[in-house]
Amino acid sequence: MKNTMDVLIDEFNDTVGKEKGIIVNVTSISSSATLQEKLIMAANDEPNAPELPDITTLYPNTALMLADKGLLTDIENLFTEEELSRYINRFVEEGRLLNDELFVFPTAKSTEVIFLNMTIYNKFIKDTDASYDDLETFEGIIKTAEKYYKWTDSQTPDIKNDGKAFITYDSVFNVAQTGFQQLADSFIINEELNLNSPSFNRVWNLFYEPAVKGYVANYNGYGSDLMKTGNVVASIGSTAGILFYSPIVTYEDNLTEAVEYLILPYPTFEDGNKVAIQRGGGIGIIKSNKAKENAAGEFLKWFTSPEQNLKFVSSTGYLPVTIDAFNSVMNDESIAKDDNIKKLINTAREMQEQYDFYVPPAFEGFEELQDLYEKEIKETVSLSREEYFKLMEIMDEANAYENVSNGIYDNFINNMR
Amino acid sequence: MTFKQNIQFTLRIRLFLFFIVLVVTLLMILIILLLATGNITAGLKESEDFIIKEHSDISVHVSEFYENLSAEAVGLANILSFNIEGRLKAKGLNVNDIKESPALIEEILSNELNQVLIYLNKSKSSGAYIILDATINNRLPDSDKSKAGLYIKNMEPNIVNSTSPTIYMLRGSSNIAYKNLIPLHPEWKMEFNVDNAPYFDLPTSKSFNAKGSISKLYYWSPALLFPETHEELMMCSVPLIDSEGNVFGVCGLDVSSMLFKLSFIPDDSMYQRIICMLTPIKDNIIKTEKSLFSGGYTARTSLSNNELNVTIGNGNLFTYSSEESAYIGYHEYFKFYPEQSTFSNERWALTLMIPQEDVKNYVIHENMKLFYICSFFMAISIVASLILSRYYIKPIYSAINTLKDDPNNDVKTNILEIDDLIKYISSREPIKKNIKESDSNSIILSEFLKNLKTLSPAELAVFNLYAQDYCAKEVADKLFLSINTIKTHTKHIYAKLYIKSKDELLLYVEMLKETGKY
Repeated sequence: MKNTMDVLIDEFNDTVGKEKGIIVNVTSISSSATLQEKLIMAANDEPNAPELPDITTLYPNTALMLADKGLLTDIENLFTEEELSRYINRFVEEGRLLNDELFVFPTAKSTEVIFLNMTIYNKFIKDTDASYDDLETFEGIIKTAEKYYKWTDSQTPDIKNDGKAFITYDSVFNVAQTGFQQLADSFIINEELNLNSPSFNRVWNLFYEPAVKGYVANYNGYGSDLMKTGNVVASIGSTAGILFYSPIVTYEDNLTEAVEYLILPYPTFEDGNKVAIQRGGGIGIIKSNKAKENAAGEFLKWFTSPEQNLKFVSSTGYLPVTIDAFNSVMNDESIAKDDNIKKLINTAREMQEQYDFYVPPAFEGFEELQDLYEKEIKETVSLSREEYFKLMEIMDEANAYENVSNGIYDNFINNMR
Repeated sequence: MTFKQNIQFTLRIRLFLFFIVLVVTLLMILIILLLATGNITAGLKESEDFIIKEHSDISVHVSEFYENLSAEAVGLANILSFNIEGRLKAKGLNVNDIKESPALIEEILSNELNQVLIYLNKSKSSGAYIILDATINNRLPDSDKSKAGLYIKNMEPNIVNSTSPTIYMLRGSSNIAYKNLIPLHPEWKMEFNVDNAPYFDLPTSKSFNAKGSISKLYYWSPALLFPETHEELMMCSVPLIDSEGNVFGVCGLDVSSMLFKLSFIPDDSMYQRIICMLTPIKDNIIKTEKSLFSGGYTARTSLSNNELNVTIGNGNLFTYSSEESAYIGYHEYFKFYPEQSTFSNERWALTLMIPQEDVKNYVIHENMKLFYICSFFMAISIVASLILSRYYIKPIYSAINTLKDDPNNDVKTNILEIDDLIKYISSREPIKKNIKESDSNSIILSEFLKNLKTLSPAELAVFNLYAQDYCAKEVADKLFLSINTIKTHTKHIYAKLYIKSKDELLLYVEMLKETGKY
């Protein structure tokens, strides 16, 4: 994304910027986490904090904090009603904070999908009764994952329990949030986890048991890393991760294999509604003076115009933000030449029509809550898995699991309170 | 045949023109003085001073940065060479065994990951790497060009004090990445492809059987697109050499195009499209594809894959030109290596340059400022001339008008010469008038007297009584005549004397009395 952004900014400076006497100077390029950290430091006037820029990418949580301090401009004032109506409404609405003021302008929106290594999956379904339809629901995915583990385990009959995980979730927290929504429930109520809901057990079961048994990978990084080496076949993650899915799988002995991906809509519970998460940030304009704010507005209009927006989409995997760009996306040359992006946008469009989108709440402490949940559940799985493997040496699979999982759920709930 | 027309100007216009000539003359003198002192090209001189000063400032930073990076890369090579040799020795092996025992590779790299991360962090570079002269699978096609190693990228080296630096593994074993929770770069591959890789070939070949200090053996590659990635960078490679002089790979640090761009942003307050460029230079030719750039202006689009010819320009500046574009700027040779270095004959230049059109526009802009100041001064002078000439001539006009109305008025203009003139005119005016008046009156009166003599005695009697201001009835009573007879006489008298009323008659009588002729 950094190169795309940089190239687009250069292009703006050379064209529209030059014409209108606007130069956008890049002062910092960094990951979203570092950026949020620096913005918070700057907003709090902390020692060694960088100066606040005139324009920055940001997420609603950071925007909320900056807006609270009166540091953000209401972007609505820089756009006419007609101009704003060209953008996808739910993206714009997500950027309205505090008194309904538009503080985050949509530029980098994403949802979550399933990335599937079709090349390996096809080999797998050829040998088993697994199918593509199974991947529509969470229940189907867990069953498929079990089959895949057993299928891979059977490839080396002399080594027991060396099956491979089928899938990994980039964010277990997002799976939980979305799962709750699909069950018409809320994972977070009053800025706290809804631990008493029966839905909690449903989302727990999507991860704990299959991860302990090795069907789902319990990994702290991104699923795309495991897919690069063929360690998993599927991953549930952000559309913005598309560029991390390499068309080449490299195995441990440096042998490589060209693979093809399939991008599938977000899975749902069998009895759940079609709901997917809507994530991503946008651009905020820091209050400075009218001239700079207007210049920033000009840049935003140019940057999000369908032509530039599609360039950005084609090289990042973020979703188009204007209605025109969404409608013309498949005709765009840069999109058409990238097979994975094309598949991704197709799936995103399909979801756009069939799904409701859930926007996580924005409040201070949201990130901490997310980190805590991820850390706790992954550590719990990790410890259980270690014990499970030890027990498997002395008992069968079912008993081993029964032993390690006994009381774990209640302990987890109590720890999280 | 010629006609000569006498053009007459008012005194005010003459005065106004005089002032204008004065102002234009002064302006001409000013411009000549500015030309003579060289101030008319202020924009160019100012540009030169700015470019040279900015170059000097950036040069200090770039030198410090690259010197530090070179030293850190040498430090990393020393420590890696020592560590790897030591660990192998402990196993009863030496560096030549790495090639033969691929199973050792992951262990060696895993052990040295920490050093790589330490040096990456403390050098503030954008990447650190080890390339071993070995591969984990020599049964694969082209395995002679595939080298095992580690390449760790810091995606945001420009962020100081970040608590969560964005580290990616660009090359290396995925197992090492998984174990150490290092995400794989989008363009990750397990091994390095060293086909046409100067950053591997040159330091290893030139260091073959080298003994002694490796500080003379580090090599800076020109900017390149790292194979099979979109990473544009410069690499500082140092050979890995054991105590016996066996070269078994390279290690080093890199400077990504983004790091360079964000670290050495030139001051764009005077020229927004200023570019800083670090580049190899040979025979006064700069190959921009081998350069790193910084500056708000996107040099990469206009300069990529270009050759720039360097020629001496105005003053101390140089001109950098290609078929498509031309720049004005300044460069100095950049010292990457110590004198005794294997690569000390390679020449680099740190260049600061600006599109030629921008410099031209700036000079024009600066000279236009001078022009506007002169124009403003000119306009003010014209208005002042107009006001002054009006003000100056006002008492004269006023005096003339007063004199026209009353020639005897003793007008004062407070302008000595004009007052003298008025005084002189005043003294001459009444005489002329009296002479003229007396001449014309005596003619009229003579005529009247001559006509008077044509009156009959009866008419004369009536005339005399009118002269004494009697009315017609009183004249009739005095002469015992009827009023009708008197009217007839009066009619004849008026006709003979060419008068129309009794008042006119009385005026003539008065004049005759004044001259004593009646």
